Amino acid sequence: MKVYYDREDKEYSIEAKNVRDMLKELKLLKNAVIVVVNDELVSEGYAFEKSDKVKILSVVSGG
Amino acid sequence: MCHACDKKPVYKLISGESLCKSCFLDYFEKKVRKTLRVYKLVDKEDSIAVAVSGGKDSLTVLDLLHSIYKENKKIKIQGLLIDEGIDGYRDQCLESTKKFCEERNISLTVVSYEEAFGFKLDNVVEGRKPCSVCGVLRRNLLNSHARKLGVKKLATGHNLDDEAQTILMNQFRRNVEASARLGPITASEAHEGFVPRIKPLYFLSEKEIMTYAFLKGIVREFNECPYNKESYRNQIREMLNQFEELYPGTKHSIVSSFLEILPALKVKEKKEGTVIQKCLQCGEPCSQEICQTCVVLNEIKSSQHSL
Ligand code: SF4
Ligand SMILES: [Zn+2]
Ligand SMILES: [Zn+2]
Repeated sequence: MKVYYDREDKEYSIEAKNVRDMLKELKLLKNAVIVVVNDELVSEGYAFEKSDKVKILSVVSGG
Repeated sequence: MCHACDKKPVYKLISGESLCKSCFLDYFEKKVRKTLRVYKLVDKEDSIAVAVSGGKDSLTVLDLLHSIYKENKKIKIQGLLIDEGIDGYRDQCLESTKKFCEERNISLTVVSYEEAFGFKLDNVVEGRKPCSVCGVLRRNLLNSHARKLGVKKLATGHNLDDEAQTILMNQFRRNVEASARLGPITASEAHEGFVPRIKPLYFLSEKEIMTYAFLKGIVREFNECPYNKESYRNQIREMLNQFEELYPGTKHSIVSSFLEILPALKVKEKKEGTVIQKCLQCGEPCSQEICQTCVVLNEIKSSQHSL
């Protein structure tokens, strides 16, 4: 599955089946990002479906 | 499921409880209102300039204060944006902020380094720490232009993460004096030339604010200052986030325990601290003969002359 991370402006391929595992796989901290699936916010427990469009949005204040 | 109403969850609190969209918005707004009330951030009659950068935090503050006080004729809210001259970053923030304010009919004042100091930040960062120059000069313009606008207070988007970072930074750099000026509202008694600052998002984390801003459609695209990643603050941020991951609640603990000692810090500073006077060069309030802004500007000018 492909996911997009906005702070890096990059797409990653991941194996994880849910949000929590995805963040672990990408070594992202859960308090540093929010996760949006098909333009809707989801919480850590969310399990992906095949057709999902996943975006990881950084929460840092940019300066 | 949402612990309050059983709908689809969008956010998990530190306590472990999950909230759906509408319960989260409710939780967030209540927390802001409580901060406004408990710390008396806004008076019955007030005029407030919100220091906007175009990021999620300051736009959220502007949006909330504007909507909370829209019907109240005695309280005026406006925006103040400092354009440092950071190509590819602040110019984009400026456009989105202008649009944001137009849509809500909020007046916005823009002041640039170029008109105030005659240079862009981008052109003076070589050999210097961008954030040190940027922070000092921006603070100066915010204060002097808040005064020019005749507002009584300056509201900023500072959040729980910012505050926890600043507390640690001051600790690590042995700068107790600076810590005495933290808290949800700054010491207004210090000097008449200082416009008091309020921080309505003081008890909300970066993640909570981003969640709110996303749900309310306040921010659309990620944007980061090109100097941010190399900053000292960013290193502290990453360290703190690592800790928060292992020990949830760390940031809250840092800030709450700091608030317990803050009154004592203020007393100490009042007794032993430096007297606030006027800068001999520019007349702005400061604690030395020459203010930080003039020190920075003098150094930049002298290096330009020697070219
Ligand atoms: S990251 Fe540093 S240089 Fe960029 S806006 Fe913030 S303080 Fe200024
Ligand atoms: Zn709910
Ligand atoms: Zn000065």
